[in-house]
Amino acid sequence: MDAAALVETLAAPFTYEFMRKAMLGGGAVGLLCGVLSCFVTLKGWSLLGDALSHAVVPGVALSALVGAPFAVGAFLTGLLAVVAMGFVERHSLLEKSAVIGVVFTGFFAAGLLLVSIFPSQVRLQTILFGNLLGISDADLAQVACVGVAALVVIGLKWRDFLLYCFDPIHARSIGLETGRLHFTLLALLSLAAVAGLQAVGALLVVAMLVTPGATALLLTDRFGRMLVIAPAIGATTAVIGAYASYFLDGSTGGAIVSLQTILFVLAFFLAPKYGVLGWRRRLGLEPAS
Amino acid sequence: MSPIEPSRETAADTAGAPCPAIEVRDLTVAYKSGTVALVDVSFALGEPTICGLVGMNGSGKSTLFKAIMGFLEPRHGTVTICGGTVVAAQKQNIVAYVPQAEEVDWTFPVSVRDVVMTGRQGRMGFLRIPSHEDARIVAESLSRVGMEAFADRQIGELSGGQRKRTFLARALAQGARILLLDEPFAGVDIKTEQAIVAILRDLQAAGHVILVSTHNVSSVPTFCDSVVMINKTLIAAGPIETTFTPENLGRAFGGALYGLPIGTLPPQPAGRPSGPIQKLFATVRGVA
Amino acid sequence: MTADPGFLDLLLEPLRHGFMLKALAVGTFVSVVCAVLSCFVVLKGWALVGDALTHAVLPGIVLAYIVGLPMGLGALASGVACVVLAGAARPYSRVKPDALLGIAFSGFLALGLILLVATPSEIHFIHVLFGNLLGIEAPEIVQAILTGSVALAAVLVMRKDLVLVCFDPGHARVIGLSPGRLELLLLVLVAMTVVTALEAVGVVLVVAMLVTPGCIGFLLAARFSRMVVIAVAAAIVAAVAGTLASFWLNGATGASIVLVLFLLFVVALFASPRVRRRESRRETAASPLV
Repeated sequence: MDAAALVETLAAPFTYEFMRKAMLGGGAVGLLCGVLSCFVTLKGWSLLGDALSHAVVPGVALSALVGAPFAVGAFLTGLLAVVAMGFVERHSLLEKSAVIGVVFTGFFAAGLLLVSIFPSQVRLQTILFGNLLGISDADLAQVACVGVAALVVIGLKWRDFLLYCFDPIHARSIGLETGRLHFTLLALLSLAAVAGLQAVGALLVVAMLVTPGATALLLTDRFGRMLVIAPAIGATTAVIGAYASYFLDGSTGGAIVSLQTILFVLAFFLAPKYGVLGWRRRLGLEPAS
Repeated sequence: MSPIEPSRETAADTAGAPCPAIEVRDLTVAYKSGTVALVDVSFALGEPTICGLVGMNGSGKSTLFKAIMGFLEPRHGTVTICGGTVVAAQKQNIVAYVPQAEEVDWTFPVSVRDVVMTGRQGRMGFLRIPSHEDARIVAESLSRVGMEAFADRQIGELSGGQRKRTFLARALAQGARILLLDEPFAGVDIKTEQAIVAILRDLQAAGHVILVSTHNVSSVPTFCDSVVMINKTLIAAGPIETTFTPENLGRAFGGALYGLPIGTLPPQPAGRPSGPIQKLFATVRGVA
Repeated sequence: MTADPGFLDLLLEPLRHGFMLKALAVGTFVSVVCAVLSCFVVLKGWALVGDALTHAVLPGIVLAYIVGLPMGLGALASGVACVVLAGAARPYSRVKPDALLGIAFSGFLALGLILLVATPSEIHFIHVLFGNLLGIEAPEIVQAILTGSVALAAVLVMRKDLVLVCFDPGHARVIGLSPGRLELLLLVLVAMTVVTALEAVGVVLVVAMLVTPGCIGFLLAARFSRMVVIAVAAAIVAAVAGTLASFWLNGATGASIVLVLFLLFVVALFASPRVRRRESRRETAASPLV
C-alpha cells in the first residue's frame, strides 16, 4: 500500500498538463543552452552570456507592450546589445569586460524601467525567474521555433564554429569568414538566452549557458563528445528540476541550476581524468594546465 | 633596399611559379592612434626559399605577418600573394601560419589529429565532413613530422617540441605554397629544432616559400638562405651571404649588437611604460 | 510668465517630500562610494567579479536572517566566499576562470533562491533585488553609511598600494607588497560597496554602479586622480537625476539611476579625446619607440 502511494505521489506531476509542458519546455531549453554552453565555456564568454541574458529584457518588455511575440523583440535587443558592445570596444580603449558590463546593465536598466512604468503588461517575476510551470502554448511554440532554428544552424556549421573558437587566426587564413562566424555565434547565444529566460529567468540563464559545458569539458577530451554530453546534462537537469519543483513548491530555476551546479561539483572532484581526485591519481602524467 | 627578386610580373596564374609568391610594395601600416608600425617596406620572395624575418621585439615583425595574412589594412602600399590579393590567397589556401605557443589554448578539447584536420577544413565542402583523401593527407602529414604515435592525444598532453610539430603538420596538411612561422624555435629542444629545420628544407626543395620570424639572430645563418631585416622599416633584404652583415645587423638592432659577438641575444629595450593604462599610472610610479 | 512658476513647481515638487530628500542624500552617498571603487574595478578588469559578487550575496542574506545576524554581514561573507571559492578552484581545473566564476555565482544565487522560498521570512525580496531607495529607513541608512564610510576610509588609506596592485602586481611584489593580500582587500572593499548599495539600487543593478562610473572616468581622464573625480561627479549626477526622474516617471529608482549613468557613458564615449581603435593599445604597449 505504501509503495503504491509513493508511486502515485511520484507520478502525480505527470498527471498535470502544465507539468508535462514544463518538463517538455525545460528539456528543450536545457538542450539548446547546453549546446551553446560548449562554445561559451571554451571561448571564455561567461560574462557575455550573463550580459546577453540581461540585455534581452527590454525586448521582452517592449514586445509585451506592443503585443508582439516576445522572442522577436528579445532577439532584436540582444543583437542590438552585441552591436553596441562591438562599437564601444572598437572605439575606446576600455577593456572588454568593462564594456560588456556597461552595456548590458544599461540595457537591463532600460528593461526594468519599462516594466516598472507599465507593470500590468509584464510580470517582473517572470522576467527574473522564468515561469516554466505557467508556460503558455504560444511561448512553448516560440521556444520550439527558436530551438530548432538554432540547432539546425549549429548542426550544419559546428566544425567551423569549433575552428573559430580554437584558432581564429587559422580560420581566417584558410578563408573562413570569421566576422560572420563570430556574429552568428553571438546571435545563437542571444536565441539561447531568450529561450533560457522562459525556463529559469534572466538572473540564472548564465548557469544554463556555462555550467553544462564546463561539466562536459571535465569529462571528455573531444569536442564532438562535449557537444553530446553538455546538452544531455542541460536537458536532464531541466526536466528533473521542473519535476522536482512540483514538490519543492517554487523556484523552478533555482532547482534546475542547483542540480547543474551539483553535477559540476561532482565532476570537478570525481571526473576520471580531470577531476581533482582523478588528477592526483594521474600524477605520473602531465597534468592538464 | 635590395629586393630579393626585383621581378615585377603580375601573372594571375597561382599554380605556376613565375609570379613572386609574396610581394610587398611600399607597405606602410599605421594604427588609428597615429602609431606607425611599418614604413615603406618593399621586398619580394619568389624562388623557393627559407627566409628569416629578423628584428627586435616591436620592430614590426608581427605587424608584417598580420599584413601578409590580411588582418591589417595598409595605409599605403600593397601585399600581393602569387599575383593576387590576400583575400584571394586565403580562399585558395595559399598561406599557412604556424602560431606561437602562447597563441594557442592548450586546454581545448581537441586531439592532435583534429588540429591537423583543421588544415584541410578550408578545402572541405559546406558541411566540412572530412573525406578519405583528407584523412590520408592528415595521416601523411603526421608521419612526416613524426607525430603519428601521438595522433589521439589531447594537445595539452604534448611537450613543447611535439606541440610545434603538430602545428607544422597542420601547415603541411593545408598544402599551402607559402608558410609563415612565428618564432618556431622558442622553447623547443635542439632535437626538435633540427627536425623542424629538416622538414623546412624538404619543403623548400618541394617548392615552398617559407618566412620564419625570429629574434634569435645567431640561428639565422644556420638554416636560412635569405633574410629580411626590419626595424619599423626595411633595413635590408636579400641572400644571406650578402645581406646578413654586421652593418645591417647593427642598423636592425639600433646599435644594440655593436661590440657583442653575433649570437648574443639582443637586449630587450627597457622601454618606458607607454600604453594608456601605463600613462594613467605614470604619476603613481614616478616615472613620468 | 504663467508657465514659469508651474514648471518650477514641477521641478521642485519632489524636494517637498521628506522621503525624496532622504533618498537623494543616501543615493548620492552610495554613488560616491561605488564610483570610487568602480575605478579600481575597471582598471583591474573585474567587471565579472563585480557581477559575481552582486549575485552571490543572496544566500548570505537569507542565512543571516535565519541566524539573526545583520543581513549586511551575511551578504559580505557569501559574496567574498563565492569569489574566493572560484579563485581557489582555478589551479585544479582546466575550466577557464571566467566559467568557474560564472558557475559559482549562479550556484550561489540558485541556492539563495531555494532558501528564500523555503524560509518563511520577512525579507523584502524585491527590495533586495531592486533596492528601495524611496522607502529607505533609518537602520538601513545607518548600515549603508557605516559600510560605505569604512570602505571609503580604507581606500583612502591604502590607495597607493591598491593602485599599484591594479596597475603592476609584479612590481608590487618586487617592492615587498603582497598582491594576493591586497587583491583580497580590494575584493572585500568591493563587497562592502555592494552591501552599501544594496538598499539603494538592489543586487541586480549594483554591478552597473561598480563599472560604469569608472569607465566614464577612464574615457575622459588620463590620470588616476582625475579619473576618480570624474567618476564620482558622473555618479552623483546620475544619482540625483535618476532619483528625480523616477519620481516623475513613477518608475523604478535603481533602474533610472543606472539608465542615466549609461546615457552619461554614451556622452562620454563620443566626447572622449581618447577615442581610438583597440589595436593601438596593443601596439603601443609592445612598441619601444613610443
